[in-house]
Amino acid sequence: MTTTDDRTGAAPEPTGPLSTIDYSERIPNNVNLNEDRRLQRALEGWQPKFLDWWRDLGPQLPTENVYLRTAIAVGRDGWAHFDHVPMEEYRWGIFLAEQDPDKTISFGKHKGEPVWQEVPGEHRADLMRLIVIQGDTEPASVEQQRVLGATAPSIYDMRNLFQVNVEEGRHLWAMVYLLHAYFGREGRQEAEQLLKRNSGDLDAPRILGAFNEETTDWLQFFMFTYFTDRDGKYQLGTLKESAFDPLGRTCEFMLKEEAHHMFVGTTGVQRTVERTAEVMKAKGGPARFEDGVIPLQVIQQYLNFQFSVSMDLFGSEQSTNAGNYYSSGLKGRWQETRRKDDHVLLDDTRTMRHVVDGQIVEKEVPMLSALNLDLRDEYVADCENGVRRWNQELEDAGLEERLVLPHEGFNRKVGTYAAHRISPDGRVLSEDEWAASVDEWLPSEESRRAVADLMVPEYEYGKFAAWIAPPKTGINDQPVEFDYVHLAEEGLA
Amino acid sequence: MALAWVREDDPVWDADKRRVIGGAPEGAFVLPFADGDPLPGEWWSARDAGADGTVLGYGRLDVTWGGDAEILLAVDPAGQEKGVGSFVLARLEDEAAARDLNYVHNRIREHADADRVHDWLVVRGFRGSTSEDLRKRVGAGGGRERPASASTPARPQPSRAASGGSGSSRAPGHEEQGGYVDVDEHQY
Repeated sequence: MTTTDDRTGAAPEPTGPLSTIDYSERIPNNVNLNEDRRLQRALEGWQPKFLDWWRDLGPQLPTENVYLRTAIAVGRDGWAHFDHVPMEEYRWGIFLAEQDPDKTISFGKHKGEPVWQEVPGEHRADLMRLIVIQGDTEPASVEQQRVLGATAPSIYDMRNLFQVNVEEGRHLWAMVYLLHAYFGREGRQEAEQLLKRNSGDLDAPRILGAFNEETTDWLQFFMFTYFTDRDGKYQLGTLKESAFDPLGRTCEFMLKEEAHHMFVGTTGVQRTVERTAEVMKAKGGPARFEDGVIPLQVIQQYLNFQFSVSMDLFGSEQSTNAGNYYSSGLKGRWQETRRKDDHVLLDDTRTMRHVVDGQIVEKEVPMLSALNLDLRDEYVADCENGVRRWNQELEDAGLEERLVLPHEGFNRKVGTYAAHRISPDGRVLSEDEWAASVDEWLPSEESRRAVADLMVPEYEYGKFAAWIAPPKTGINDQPVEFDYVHLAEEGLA
Repeated sequence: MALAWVREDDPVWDADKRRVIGGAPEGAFVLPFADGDPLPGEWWSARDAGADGTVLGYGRLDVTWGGDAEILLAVDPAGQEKGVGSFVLARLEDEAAARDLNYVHNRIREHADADRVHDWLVVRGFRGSTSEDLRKRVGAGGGRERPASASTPARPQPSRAASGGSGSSRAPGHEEQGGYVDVDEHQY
């Protein structure tokens, strides 16, 4: 479906040839790695460290093999191959979207110039920094989700979890390739650090805050893939526009894989809501934990938490660095080429909300300083789509209740609202008012425990834990009861 | 010297900033502002806690991608070697930790005192693979509010077999149809 609005033009027509990936190499790639022996050796030196990390901090449930998608090409069509694969033998590789020899920079002070195939010295530190932060998020979520297989509500969901995990691992490879190929010794050092920082580690945590929160249960996993991975989608969307072409092409292909992660989050929450709605309809009243499902209020609390944590990932509404990255061509806007403006933004302004004397009011700010907010607004609009989808389940069940996104200022630690207490419906509160109501808005430890208590594993093919509805269709047109995962004997114990 | 840490709710470029930040070596900061221009980021001043409250330094957090923040730290050229810089850095680290940020970093641009700034930061715990961008772990993560409240014990129910549930038919395995994976047409 192609959509247009006043701000952006129509989606571009898909272009580009189909580039196959060389799987005969130790590291599958479509970057002719065998023509650069030095780089190849460096990456082959990093590979065993990655595999050690995967064994130590990757999925902990022992499996024989998993029905996984592997990229076999990077064009628009026919790039995905599905088969049962032992996870430790998954072919993590380096895949960049096809190069367009005529591509020019689409924004900033270098607009109209050819894109860069090498890193300009003046932008080296900033580009490396952006790649490191993106790279740091990829293994972080694998670490956060490493024990979830033990409580999977179905073999179908377990397979989806592992697909997300192996593709996050591949996205780490994508960033490590850029560090090794374009940033020399410093890049190799940063690649090592990507395996040394660990989610939740007190001394060396992952860089982004939300990637250090433990994923305690499957509802949180679904919320994470919906809200927090979606932040990743939008960050990748800005890096896809980068004047540094290898980064843009890398992110372009990562975005395709990222679609699966969005699918897992959207449909996971949807199926949870569907099951809760079934019970509410049958009871003619609220569903409770003792009904074997997750109460709608708790789903809303999880939504409130993950949305607000993910909003912080966009940084301050106004940022000098974000403007500098844009003007320099390092990081564009979401769907930059479809924006109907001059793509330089020196004279543009926009409004932003902030708190003055206990009231949320608007002020006009330079557009260049507010690019974090611009991206966040795009993200919020996208988040609304999922909530509408989830509410359709409630409506279909004939229920009046609805899920809602909280106000942008709710539970914020970063940005203009950080110094204020804002209710989910956007009221500025005193500390006392906040304290009196916060346990209605955010999940308590007890409700997290109650959700965790529902997380009993269901490993029989085609069966689903009682708190979640089955999907309508399976993966790659396989039946829902397909043997998506073969557990190792010790995994069944 | 006793110092006060004062938050600027609506920071603007002004005479004090011109004096303090403008006194830094050329190229140390990229702040092309005129008097009265609003400033992005969160700003604080370090002031003499005595009667006149003279501004002796500035600190700024610029959170570009939530998780770490770039710090800006400037000390009045006439007030250096008196602990103002250490005071500002410590307060900035506190502010970052209070926002659940895990790291702060400093981008050291080319200027006459770049080596001295680099060494000053390294002594205070900053590290980096490149001398132009140094990072430091701050705080230990206070975590967000998760208040305790009563809840009803969960009771897992028997599993159920699949019988045609929710979700779209556009799903993994339909990558070639574009609408599933094309970023302009993402359905999820």
